[in-house]
Amino acid sequence: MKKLVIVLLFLSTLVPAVAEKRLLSGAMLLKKPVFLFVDGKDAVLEDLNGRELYREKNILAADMADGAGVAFLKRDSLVWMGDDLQPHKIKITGLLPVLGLVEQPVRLSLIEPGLVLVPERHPFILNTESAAKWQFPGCLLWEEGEVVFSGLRGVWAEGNWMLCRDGNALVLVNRGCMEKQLTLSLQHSDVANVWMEGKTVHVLLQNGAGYKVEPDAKKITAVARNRKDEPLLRQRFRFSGDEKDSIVELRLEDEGAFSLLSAWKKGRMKAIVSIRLPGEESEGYSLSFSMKTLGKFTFSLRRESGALILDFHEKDVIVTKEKGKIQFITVNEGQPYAVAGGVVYSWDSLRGTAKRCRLSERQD
Amino acid sequence: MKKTSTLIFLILFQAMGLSLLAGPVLVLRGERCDYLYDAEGRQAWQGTELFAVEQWKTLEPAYYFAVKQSIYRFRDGVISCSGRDWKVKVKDCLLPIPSVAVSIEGMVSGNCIYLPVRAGFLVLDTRSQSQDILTHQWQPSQIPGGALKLSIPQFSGAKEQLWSLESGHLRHLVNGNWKEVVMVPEKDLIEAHLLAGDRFVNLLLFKVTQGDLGSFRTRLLSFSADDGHQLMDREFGGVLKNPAVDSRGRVIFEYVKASIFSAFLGRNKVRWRVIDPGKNKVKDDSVSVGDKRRHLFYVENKQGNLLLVVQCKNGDVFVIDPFNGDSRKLKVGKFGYDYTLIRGVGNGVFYNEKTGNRVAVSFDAGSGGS
Repeated sequence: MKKLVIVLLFLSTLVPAVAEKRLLSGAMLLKKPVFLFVDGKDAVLEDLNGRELYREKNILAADMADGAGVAFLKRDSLVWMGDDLQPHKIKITGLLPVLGLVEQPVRLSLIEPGLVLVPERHPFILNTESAAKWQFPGCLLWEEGEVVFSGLRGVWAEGNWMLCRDGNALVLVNRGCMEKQLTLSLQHSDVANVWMEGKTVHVLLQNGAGYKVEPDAKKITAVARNRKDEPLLRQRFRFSGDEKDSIVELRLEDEGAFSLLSAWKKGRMKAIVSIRLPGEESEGYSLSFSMKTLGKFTFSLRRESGALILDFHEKDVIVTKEKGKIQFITVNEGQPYAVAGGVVYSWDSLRGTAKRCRLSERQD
Repeated sequence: MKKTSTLIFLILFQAMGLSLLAGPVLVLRGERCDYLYDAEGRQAWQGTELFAVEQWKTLEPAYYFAVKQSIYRFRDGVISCSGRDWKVKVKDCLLPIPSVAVSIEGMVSGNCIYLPVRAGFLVLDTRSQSQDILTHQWQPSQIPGGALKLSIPQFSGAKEQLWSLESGHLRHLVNGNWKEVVMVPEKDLIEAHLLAGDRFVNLLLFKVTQGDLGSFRTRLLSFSADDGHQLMDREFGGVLKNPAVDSRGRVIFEYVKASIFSAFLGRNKVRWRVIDPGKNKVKDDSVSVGDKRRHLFYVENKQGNLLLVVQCKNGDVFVIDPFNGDSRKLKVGKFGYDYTLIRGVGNGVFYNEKTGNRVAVSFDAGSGGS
């Protein structure tokens, strides 16, 4: 009986503490994995041992990214810091009204290497080194009965250049002085990927077409889509520890109307992720996912600290490279996790901190 | 660096979007009729009726909407009207700052515009020039990877009635308070639509059951606009598309016969279904239009009834009265796909976006289809 009381007492102290603390995200800071937690209304940075590195009180949102640092959004200011954990404060005069609706702290895409988004009523991107600003209303979109704050997700920073999605255009901006260099049409499609080779910026659109841009010479070469080769997504991606980009492609396993129909009948679809590591042959992996909402299936692909995340509505599949091999880790919807340096961590409720996810066999 | 790509496959139904236009002419799509606003020419068309627009010289990046031959512009937190010296300041609007001229669609109902603001909706009555706040509890939801989403309810109403559809709830505004009318079951749902008239309010649920291609279903729930009591709840098989409502609240669909036979031989046919929730009556009809039908518009006539305007592949235009099945071909000429119809009341303008060409047509019976 005594034991039971002790256990109950222990649990009663544990439960509220666990319920209030939430794992938001992770990244590499000073070459070590660091995690961002929400603790009530505060944001806390902790290392893998649960040691508190920094605390910012009363925040609305926070974000962190490799090589960029951390950003905290408050009602009246934005605080950002780099690897040295020295806070820099930017005053906000009039927050974007949508963000004023946030009640519990959330993660918003606010920071990229050398850039922070200041979500004022007239939002702008600040170059943290040169202090130059770029007015960026494109972080807030209105589409089909929804208002979406996408933050810096529609921004690609490559070399000296920054590309911002704004309506049906992609604006190429010189990052140093934050001046517009040129504009590309999105052809009513969306950006699949942006990367740099030498001095050339490559843009791949989701409709399969693209551009090769030499910004210094203001030269734009349109690349036509290859109708015989149309994956759903094609990405260049550098896994943690690699020195060169891999090419990642995603396509449906069987294309054509009949296989689509049979997938619909079963309620599940199969996609193949193929990854070509630098200097190696391409390898394909099959993933199966359910069509949760009938008539449409949605997935998104995003990059997080040396890993790729395929978000299939009901689950996230995290693609990492560990011990020289491609690994897939599946996390069900609603389960908190974070990625830092290509390693996946989950919430450890016993210790109240992040723990490394056990590498397991692929489970689709 | 993060990057997100989202691919959405809408198998059958295309959601209504915004109409964006880079040029100096903007098409404003409305509930009952459309407008063509030519900023540089300082004029606008409501159907075939041309009216002067005193302000503004250029088509600035802003939101535009039209009510009863007045163009309104929402820019830098201020709504101004083309015809009157009247300005309304809007605080804490939740819409993004537009980078091009945008037509606000789905937020104008009757004489009012419902602008989402932090406290709810700023309701601006353009007739009485009054404004009010309709409180609404916004619930932003998180999108993984650092984005935030806010759903805006659909509004519809007539005769001072207001109904809203938001995240699966149909609500009716009674004495300033929202009253829940029905919760929309999410199972197999593709899309939900709200269509209101003077007498009936209709909730349309497009559904499809997994595993069976023949299982497209449309459920129609109709309510009395006066007291909100349910008049009808019917489910129809087959593919129904292009729903519209007349001024009373009767629903019209175009329906597609899903058979191999009709796919080859029935391409020149326009089929429609009229549903009268008051009489609990459903009537199907069809007309042959000579060539494959490509675009279909609903034009209201002066009595508030709807006419079906069918633009065929060969450019022929047919006007059909869906209630009695009368149909006739317009004699004015042919309009290819580069033409779209700017709907007026009993008339319209076929407008070519590329050339700027405009041809006024009347859809009234007796005018010989001029």
